Amino acid sequence: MVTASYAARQLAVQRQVNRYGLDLRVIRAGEPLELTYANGGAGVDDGTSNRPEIEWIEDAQRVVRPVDRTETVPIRDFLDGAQRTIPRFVGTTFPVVESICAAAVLEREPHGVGQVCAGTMDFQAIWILPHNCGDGEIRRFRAMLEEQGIEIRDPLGDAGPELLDDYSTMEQRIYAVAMEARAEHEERVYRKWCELYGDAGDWIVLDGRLRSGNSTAIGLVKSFSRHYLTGPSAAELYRMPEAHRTAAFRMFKRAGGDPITAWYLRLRDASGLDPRHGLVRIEVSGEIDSATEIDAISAALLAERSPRATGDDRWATLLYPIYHLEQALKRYLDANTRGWDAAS
Amino acid sequence: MVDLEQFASLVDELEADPGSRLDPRLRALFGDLIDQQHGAIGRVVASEQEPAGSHSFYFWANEEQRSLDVGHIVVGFSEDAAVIGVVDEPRRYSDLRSFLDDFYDRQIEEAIESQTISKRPEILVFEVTVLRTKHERDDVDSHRPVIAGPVYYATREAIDYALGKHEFAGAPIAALLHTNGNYERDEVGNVLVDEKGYDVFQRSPIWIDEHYLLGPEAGHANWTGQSGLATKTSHVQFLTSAVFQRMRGEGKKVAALMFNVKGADLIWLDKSAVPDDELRDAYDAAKFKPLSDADLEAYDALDLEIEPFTNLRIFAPFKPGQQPSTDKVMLGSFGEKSRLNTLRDNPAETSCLYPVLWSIRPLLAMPHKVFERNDLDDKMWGLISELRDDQRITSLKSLLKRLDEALMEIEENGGSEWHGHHKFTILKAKNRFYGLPSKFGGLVTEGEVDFGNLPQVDSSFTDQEVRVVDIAHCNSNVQELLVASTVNRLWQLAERDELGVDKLIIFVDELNKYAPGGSEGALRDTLVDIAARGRHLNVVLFGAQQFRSKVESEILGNCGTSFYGRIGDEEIINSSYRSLSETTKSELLGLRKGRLLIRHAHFRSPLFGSFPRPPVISGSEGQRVFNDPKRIVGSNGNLANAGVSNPSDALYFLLKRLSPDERINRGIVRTEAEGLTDAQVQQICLSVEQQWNKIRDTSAARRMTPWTIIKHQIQEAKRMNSLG
Repeated sequence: MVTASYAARQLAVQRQVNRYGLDLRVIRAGEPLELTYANGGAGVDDGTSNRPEIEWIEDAQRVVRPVDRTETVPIRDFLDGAQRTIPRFVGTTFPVVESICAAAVLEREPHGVGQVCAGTMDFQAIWILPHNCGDGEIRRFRAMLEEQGIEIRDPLGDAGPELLDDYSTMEQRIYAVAMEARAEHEERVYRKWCELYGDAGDWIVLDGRLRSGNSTAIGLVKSFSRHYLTGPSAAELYRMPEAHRTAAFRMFKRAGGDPITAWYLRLRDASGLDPRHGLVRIEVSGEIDSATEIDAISAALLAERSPRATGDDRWATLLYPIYHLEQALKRYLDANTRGWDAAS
Repeated sequence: MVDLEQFASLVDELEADPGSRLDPRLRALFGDLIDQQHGAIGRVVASEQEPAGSHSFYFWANEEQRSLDVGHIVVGFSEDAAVIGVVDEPRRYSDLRSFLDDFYDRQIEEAIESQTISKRPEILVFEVTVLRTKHERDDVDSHRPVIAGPVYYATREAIDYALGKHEFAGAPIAALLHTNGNYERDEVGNVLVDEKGYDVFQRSPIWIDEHYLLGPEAGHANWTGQSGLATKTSHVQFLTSAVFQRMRGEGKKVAALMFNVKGADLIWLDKSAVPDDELRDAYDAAKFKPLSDADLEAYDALDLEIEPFTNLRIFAPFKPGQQPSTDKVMLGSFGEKSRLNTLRDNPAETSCLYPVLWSIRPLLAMPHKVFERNDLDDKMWGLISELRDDQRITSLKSLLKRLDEALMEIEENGGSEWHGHHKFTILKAKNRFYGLPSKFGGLVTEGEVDFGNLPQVDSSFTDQEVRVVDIAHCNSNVQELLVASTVNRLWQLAERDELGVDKLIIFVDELNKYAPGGSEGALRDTLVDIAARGRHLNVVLFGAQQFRSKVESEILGNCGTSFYGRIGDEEIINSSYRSLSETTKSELLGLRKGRLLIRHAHFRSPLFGSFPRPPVISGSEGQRVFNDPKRIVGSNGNLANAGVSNPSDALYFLLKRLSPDERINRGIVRTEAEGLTDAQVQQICLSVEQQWNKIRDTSAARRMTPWTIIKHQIQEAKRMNSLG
C-alpha cells in the first residue's frame, strides 16, 4: 500500500534521526511554501529568464478572432498534480525542506463524471537541501537520507555557496526545485498514461505547460508571469472578448527542442475586471497548425467552462475536471501526511 | 515510487465491488447475514460532524444500486459484529456551494451549453438506524458503532435476527411483508424474473411475537391513519386471519369480537376473496377486483392461506321501530331477520345473523348511560334505585305501570309523595322512561326478553369465532351503549375465566370516540383496564383510529404493537409522533394503500412493510356479490339472473359454519331443500343451530353431524308440506 510504505519510511527517517542523535532544529508547524509562492512566484511559469522568440502561424495583422465552435476535439482525460513543500529543519541560514507530490490522470466517463484512471495515481517524496554546506548536522542528516535511499535535490545547483546566507533566496530556489520536481513527476505520470491508454486517441489536457510533444495533448497554462505577445498585440490581448482567441504562434522552449504551437484564449468575460481574468494560454504540439484544428481545440476548452469550479478562487481559468482531480489529490496528500506537524 | 500494478489492481477491485475488502474473518462469521451474490452496495462513512454511533450510521451508496431506498435493511460491521439497520434519511451531496452558483453557471455567461460535458460528482449518503447487532460471541450484547467498510443488503436470516425472532417467547406471527432492494435467486444464483420481466426483490415476513401481541408478555395492537387511505380495517382483517391460522397451528383457541361501525365493512368476513368455481361468475358480474398475482405471492411468502372467517356470527339490534314489543318477546324462535338493522339482509345469508334486544332491566343498571346528565339529579337517582330493586319490574311496560300506580296512589291519598319520591319526580321519570324505546331505537323493547337457546352477543366464544356487532346504522346512543355494555360483560367473563377460548381479540374502531384522551366514562375506563390488565386475562385490544393523538395515552402506552398508515399533516405534528424520524414522517404523509409502518416491542426501530389484500371480500364488494337484490334468486329456483344465492343457501352456509370440513357442496344442499319456503329454511337454520349447540360437546355429536340434522329437518318440513 502506498500510504503504509510512505508512512513507514517517515517513521524510519525519524528513528534514524533519533538513533544518530542528530541535533536538528526542527520547524514545527511550518507553512507549506505553496501558500507563499503559488500565485506566480519565481519560476511558476517557464522557470527561465529568457523569453523565447515566437513565429506567427496565423495572420498577425488580425491578432484577436472569435473561436469557430462548429467543431470540437473530444477531450476525455485531464492530468494534474498536487504538492506540499514543507520546511522541516533549519540549517545554519537556510531551510531544509521536504516536498511531496501526487499526480494522476482523471478520465471522464461517458455519463460525465470523472474518475481517476486506474494505474496513473503516483506519489513522490523528496528532500531539498544543499549538497555542500558548513552545517555539520545537516551534512550528517543528508548522509543519513542517502543511506536510506531517499531522493535528495540540491537547491544551489550551479550557484555559489554564498547564496546559503540568504534565507529568502534559498527558499525561492528550493520552491523552484520543488516545482521542477513536480513537473518531472507529472511528466512521468503522463508517460505512464501514454503507455497504458495512449493508443485510444483521446485528447488529454495537462494542467500547465506542455513539456513534450504529443499530437493529442493540450497544455493549459492558467497563470503566467510573462506574455509572449508584446506591443500592440499585447494590448489587443488584454482587450480580447470572451470566447475569442489570439492568432496562434510557434515557439521553441528549448534550443533543439520540439516546436510548440500556442495561443491565448479568453474563457470568460473580463469586462470591468483584471484583464487577465479568464485568460489562458494553450500549448499543443507543433504539428498542429491549421486554424480548423486550433478552433476545434479552443471550442472544446470553451465547452469545459461549465460546471464551474466554484469551490476554488481560480475558477475563471480552472477546468472542472482539473479541479475535481485536484480535490482527489489533495485528499490523497492529506491522508498521507496526517500527523505531520506542518502538513495540513 | 508506488507499485502501479498493485495500485491499479486495487482500484479495479474497488470499482468492481466496494466490499471486496471485507475482513475474511467477518465474512466467515457473518456470511449468512449478507447478500454476497449481490455484493457490497456502499461503504460506511463517519466524519467529525456525523460520526457513526450505536444507533445510527451513514454510508454512501454505489451508483449502480438503483433499487436501494428508504426502508431497506442493510448490514455493516464493527470490529467483531455485524450491525443490521434500516435505511432512513437519504441525502445527495455535490460540491456546489450554493444554488446560485449553478444559476450563474448557466445564465450569466454567454452561450454556455445546456448539456455540459462534465458533471459534478454527486454521492448519495443514507443514514441507517440500527435494528440489532450480532456479535461473534452470543454472550456479548454489542453496541459498538460500525467501522468504515462495506455495506451489504441483509438476507432473510439477518432480517429475522434484526427483528428479534430468535428471542420470541411465543409463535411468530406474520404481520407485514418487507421488501428489500436485493433480488431473489434460483439455486444457481440467477436472479428470478416475474411475469412482467422485472427482477424479483427479496421479500421476507415481518414477524411479531405472539406473546407480545396476544399476551402475556405484552399485548394489544393499535392502528392509526386517515380514513379510506390508511387501510386500517383491511390490515386488521389480515392480521386477525394470520393470528387465527397461527393459533390453530399451535393448538390454541382464539376468537375475535369486532364492532362494525361503517357501512358493510365487517359483515362479509365469511366470504373469501378468492371465489370458488361456483361463485366466479357472480364475483365477475359484481365487478369484484380479484387478488393480484402480487397478493397471491405475498400470501405464499408469508406462509398464510387465503381463508375467510367461516365461523362468523353477526349481532345487530332491530331497525328503529321494528323491535318486537309484546309483553314477553320470545327470541328463541326468531326468524324475521330482515327486521335487524344490518345491510346483510339477503335471506340466504342470514343464518349467521342474531338479534340484540334489551328489556329495561339492563338499562336500570346504567342510568348514567341512559339519561342526560341534567335529568339525573339525586331525586331521580333515588327513584331509579327503588325501581331497580323492585324484582317485579321485568319490562318497560311493567315499569311504566308501576309508575302509574304510584301516581294514582298519590292522587288517592291526596299527598304529593310516594315512598318519599315527589310526584313531579315520578312524572319526570315516567316521561324519560317512556321515551327510551325511541331514544335507543331498535335496541330496547317495552316487553320482557327471553333469548331461549339463541346465542347472545355477550356469551362465551367458540374457537376461531369472529363475532361482529353491527352498529353501523344505529344512532350514537345505541352505538355507545352497545359497545360499552358488550365490552364490559365480556370483560367480566374474562375475569371469571369463562371466555371459552384461550385468547379473545376485541377490535374497536374509532377508538378516539370511545376512549378519547383525558375523558371520563365507563367504556373508557374498561378499555384502559383491558389495555392494562387484558394480556393477563387473555383479552387483547385491537384499536384503530384516525387521530392517535386524540386517544387515551394509557391505552396507547400499553400497546405492544402499533401500525401507522397514511397520516394527515395536521395530525403528524402532534407529540404522539415525535419519536419518528423526519423521513419516516414524510413517508407517512404520502404512504400508499397496502403499506404500513410497524412498531413492535422487539423492534429497536420502526419498519415499513406491505401486506396483501385481506383474505375476505370487502364490505362493498360483499354487498354487490351476495346482497344485491337483482342477483338474489327467489325460492322458485329460477337461476336465470346469474344468481349468487338461493334462500336454501342459508342451510349451506350454516353447514359450512358449524362443520367447516363437511364435504357437501352447495348444489347438494339446494337439491335437498328444493320446494321449501324461505320461512321454512330460516326456521330449519334456527332449529339446527340450537340443536347442534346442545349436542356438540356431548357424545351425541359422534352419532350426528350438522348435515344429518339438516337433512332430518328438511325431510320433516317436506313431510309437513305433503300433509298440507
